[in-house]
Amino acid sequence: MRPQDTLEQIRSANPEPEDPQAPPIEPLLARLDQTVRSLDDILPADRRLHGRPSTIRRTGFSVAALAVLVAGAILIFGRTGSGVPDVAAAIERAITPGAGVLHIVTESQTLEAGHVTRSIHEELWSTQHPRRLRTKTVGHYGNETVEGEGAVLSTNPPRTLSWISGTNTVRESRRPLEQTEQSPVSWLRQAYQQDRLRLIGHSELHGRPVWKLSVQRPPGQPSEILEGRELPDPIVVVDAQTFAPLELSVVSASSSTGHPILQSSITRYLTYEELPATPASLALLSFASHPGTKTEVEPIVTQEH
Amino acid sequence: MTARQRFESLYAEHASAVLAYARRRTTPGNADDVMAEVFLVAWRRLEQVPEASRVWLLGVARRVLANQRRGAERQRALQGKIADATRLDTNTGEERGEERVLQALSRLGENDREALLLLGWEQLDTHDAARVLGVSPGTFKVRAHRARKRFARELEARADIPSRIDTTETMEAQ
Repeated sequence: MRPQDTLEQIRSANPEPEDPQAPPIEPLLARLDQTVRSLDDILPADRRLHGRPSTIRRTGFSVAALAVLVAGAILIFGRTGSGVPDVAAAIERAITPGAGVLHIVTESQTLEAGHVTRSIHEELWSTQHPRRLRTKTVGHYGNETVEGEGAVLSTNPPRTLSWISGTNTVRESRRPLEQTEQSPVSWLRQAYQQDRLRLIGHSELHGRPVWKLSVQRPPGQPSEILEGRELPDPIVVVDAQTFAPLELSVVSASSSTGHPILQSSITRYLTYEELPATPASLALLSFASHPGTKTEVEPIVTQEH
Repeated sequence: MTARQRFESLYAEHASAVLAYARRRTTPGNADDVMAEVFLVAWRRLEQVPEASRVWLLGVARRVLANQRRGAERQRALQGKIADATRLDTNTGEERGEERVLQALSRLGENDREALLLLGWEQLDTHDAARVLGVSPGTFKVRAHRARKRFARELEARADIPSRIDTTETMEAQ
């Protein structure tokens, strides 16, 4: 069979021999505007879709802010001795807990297709020795839990106690605290240890000089694709002087409605401080009996041989 | 020309071709979604859209379809078109030929089928078809050559199988 004959046969079986009339453009334009706006709100300036001026260009970059950045960079150059500021290392140092009580207040919002679907205000206190964590969450899934592990509450084997305010129940489990803690700080520490923090540049957030870094996905984990476009890695914004986290934004594809749509979440760190280990601050992590508190012990799952 | 004007011009010129490309490969409802997603990508990457914009848009459409992770659904859609063809009561000899062609196409691998469809249905030349697939013209020529041979084999293999028309004729005789 000649090549031309093959193509003629295929052409004759074309289910749409004529190009159909395309629908009006207006609904598409409305959809484009909405999606692009929501993406632009969360993408870093250099990855925005329309080259919208960045915060730096819009507001101008003050001499004072620049001086702070230069001072910070010199400080870091001095530590690392390299030509590139090792902001990632500085962040790791800044977020490695000391002997005090780490106190973090965050506000998180999740948006889908430009609409807020989840909003949470969380306050967290934690110590390392003994290992204790208290979280107080207000919002969509409002709850308060106090978890602890270590000399005070646990013997051998280690155990974790969680008090759930909603049901006034203490849940006892044999899982170590690391598996129950979902703090973005520990997530960032892990990213640094795996060499996944990359400096994007400096900017300004609410008039405050900041560094921006992307958090690369773990090796082997492919980027998410939505609408033919690779979604950006999470972005963390840290204070240019203290290197404490200020904002974390994550973009992903959500399939919750059956059709993949853009989901973005932004966590803003309203407070990030380490309180001295005084009786008053340690009391924030103490456990006390609440009248009527129930206790639940999580069953231990054993493997059958 | 503003970005908006350029986008509208792009849509006016090529939306029908993109929609046709999608309809030939998926269900009509999904084809509308694919077309919208293609132009969404075009809007975001307007500065990257080349002069040969139709080829670029078809390449995006191909990737959008691939990203939908609905390979099985697309396969069913193509098979559905075949089923529609076989349900025609007034099938002529020409229509039986189309049915055989569609069946032979459905049995080809995705790469082989797409190479032939770009040449046959989209009527692109080898250079443009290669660009849609993101391969060199040389690679595309080899692929298309092999695809043609496989297609011919599939077509011949089905030639001696009784068609639905034969069944109808049997029923009418009763």
